[in-house]
Amino acid sequence: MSGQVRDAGGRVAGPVPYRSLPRLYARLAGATVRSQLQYRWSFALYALGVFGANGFEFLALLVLLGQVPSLGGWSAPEVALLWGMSTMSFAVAEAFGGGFEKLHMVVRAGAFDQVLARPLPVFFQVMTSQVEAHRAGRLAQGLVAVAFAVSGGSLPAWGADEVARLLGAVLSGAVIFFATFVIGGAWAFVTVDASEVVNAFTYGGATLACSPLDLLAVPVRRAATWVFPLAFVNYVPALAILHRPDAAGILPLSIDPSGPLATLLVPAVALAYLGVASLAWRAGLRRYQGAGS
Amino acid sequence: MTGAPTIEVHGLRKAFRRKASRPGVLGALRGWLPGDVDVVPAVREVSLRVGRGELVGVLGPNGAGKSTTVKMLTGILWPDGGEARVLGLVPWRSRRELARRIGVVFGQRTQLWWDLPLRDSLDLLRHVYGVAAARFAGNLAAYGEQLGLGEFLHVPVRQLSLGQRMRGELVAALLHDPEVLFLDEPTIGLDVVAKGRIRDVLRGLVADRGVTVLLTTHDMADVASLCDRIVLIDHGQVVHDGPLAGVRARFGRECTLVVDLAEEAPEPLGALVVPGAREVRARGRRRWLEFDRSMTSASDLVAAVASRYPLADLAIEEPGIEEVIGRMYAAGSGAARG
Ligand SMILES: Nc1ncnc2c1ncn2[C@@H]1O[C@H](COP(=O)(O)OP(=O)(O)OP(=O)(O)O)[C@@H](O)[C@H]1O
Ligand SMILES: [Mg+2]
Repeated sequence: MSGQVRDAGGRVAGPVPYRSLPRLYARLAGATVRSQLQYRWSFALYALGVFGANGFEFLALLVLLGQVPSLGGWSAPEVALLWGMSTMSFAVAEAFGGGFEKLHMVVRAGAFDQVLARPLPVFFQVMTSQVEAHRAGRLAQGLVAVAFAVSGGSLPAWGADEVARLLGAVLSGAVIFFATFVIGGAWAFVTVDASEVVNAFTYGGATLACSPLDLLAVPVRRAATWVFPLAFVNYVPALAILHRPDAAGILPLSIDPSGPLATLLVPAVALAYLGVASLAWRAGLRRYQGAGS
Repeated sequence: MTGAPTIEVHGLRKAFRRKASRPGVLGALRGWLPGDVDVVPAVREVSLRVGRGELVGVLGPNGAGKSTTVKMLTGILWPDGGEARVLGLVPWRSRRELARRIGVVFGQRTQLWWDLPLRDSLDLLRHVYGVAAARFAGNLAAYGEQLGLGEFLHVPVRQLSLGQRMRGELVAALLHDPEVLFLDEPTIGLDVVAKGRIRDVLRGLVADRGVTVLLTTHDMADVASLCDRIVLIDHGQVVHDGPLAGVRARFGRECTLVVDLAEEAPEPLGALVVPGAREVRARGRRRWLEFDRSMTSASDLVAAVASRYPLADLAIEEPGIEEVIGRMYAAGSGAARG
């Protein structure tokens, strides 16, 4: 890629440089939020709805755990931790990946050509096309759940090590959900009718990740580890935080879930999955542009 | 025109693959099977060269492949075959670099932020294209004035009328001083005044800045008032490429002589043998005689009629641009199918 070259007329030549993208992200994302705020009531009601739906989901979980002291060997605070981790990851992922989720509408409306007419990377433009500010509410709920888990005092230890593990896990989980949105977006180029199937994986995955994975049937468990790496969103990192053994044998070769290998495995899986997603994205985009398929 | 042409296209091809839609439940089920696709050849073979500062009108009936051609030349779509260079760049390989040097307006779509004031959209585009603040301010002032944006710069785009929005779209495409403009139906739905303004701006860009313009339109007044050169595309092929005058010479030869006879006369006028002329309509003493200019001149025809039937009045009607283009389309589809 060439740098900035000016021609005789003072025009800037060459593509827009990558280093200007972060500031552009802030501007374009800001424009999306300002657009949403044009419809104040709808924005407020939507944010409230999202907040309420998640909150009720969490309440239902608490009611259930209040009745049964443990869920397949997981105590109430432990389940709250799983729920909180998955919820926070999903909130972060959706804040950045909302554009991929809505992409099928853009393609159907024929508005995607405009994206390709601009001098910016397509992936970047889709990321900025939908920024969901009200996801902050969801993030807050996840935090509340984790706080509840910690304040219960029943977690084995809670120090800098655990906080670091939690942060790393939430970020890795966010990457996994984000990659899922990207793969869903790639499908929009193949068929605009797949959005419900895609939702089953994104929202369905987030819901599934709220229950301890070792309670699931073995084939589902395997799929949720190696096909769609949900296990790495919260189950595997939670084992380390909670000092639990990997009773269900989710990890291969009996890797110690609290050991350094497992600690590295979580972000490694997340990045590998993101790599798969970016290949899928490229294939989808090529198909849209008709560049051989 | 010196050096390489601004736009150079050779043998461009593109077919769309569409899932075949078949009637009935069984047909719908078959749609789920792979391989059941229709191939729509949108662009079969388009070749053209456009020099710097040319203003070329691309015409053709609906579905001829004009928009598809524009999308390939702007790097939005990859062709199935053929070559193209715009400003020396292969559009689909250097999409982002080219995008910064060209302006694109699709009359049917918007590049503006729907819920934000027009001014905000223009400001965002300034950053998207990396335009310096002073240059942006200068261009906005100049083009904004020419196209009269002032009164609605602060109105959200969704509340603009179609014509207001189109003027905004054009300014949006001009802020980064593009060297080439691709305009796909830029005057769609505009009133006479707005069309006039847009045409003035385009003429100015070509004359003063040497901008190259390729525009598609169904508005024959655009063609007549703007285009030096016409490229007619039909069924994905260029079937005519040349100056507008040439089009008139080729497809506008048939004129009509309208005469008011001084006395009653038979219908049709008997014994009038002029090669290339025939009577096409009669209403009392008024007669319409169509004649081919390449075979007989108007004065010869008038003389021939007047020598037998005294004339009270006469008028010669040249075909309008609409009619010329209509004839060109009719001839073109014959040629493309044959
Ligand atoms: N995305 C697409 N998928 C399938 N077929 C398409 C697609 N876009 C265009 N076509 C088909 O390709 C052909 C050419 O379309 P195109 O839009 O280029 O025509 P056009 O000359 O711009 O017509 P108009 O004057 O109506 O705008 C048409 O038969 C159209 O149905
Ligand atoms: Mg078109």
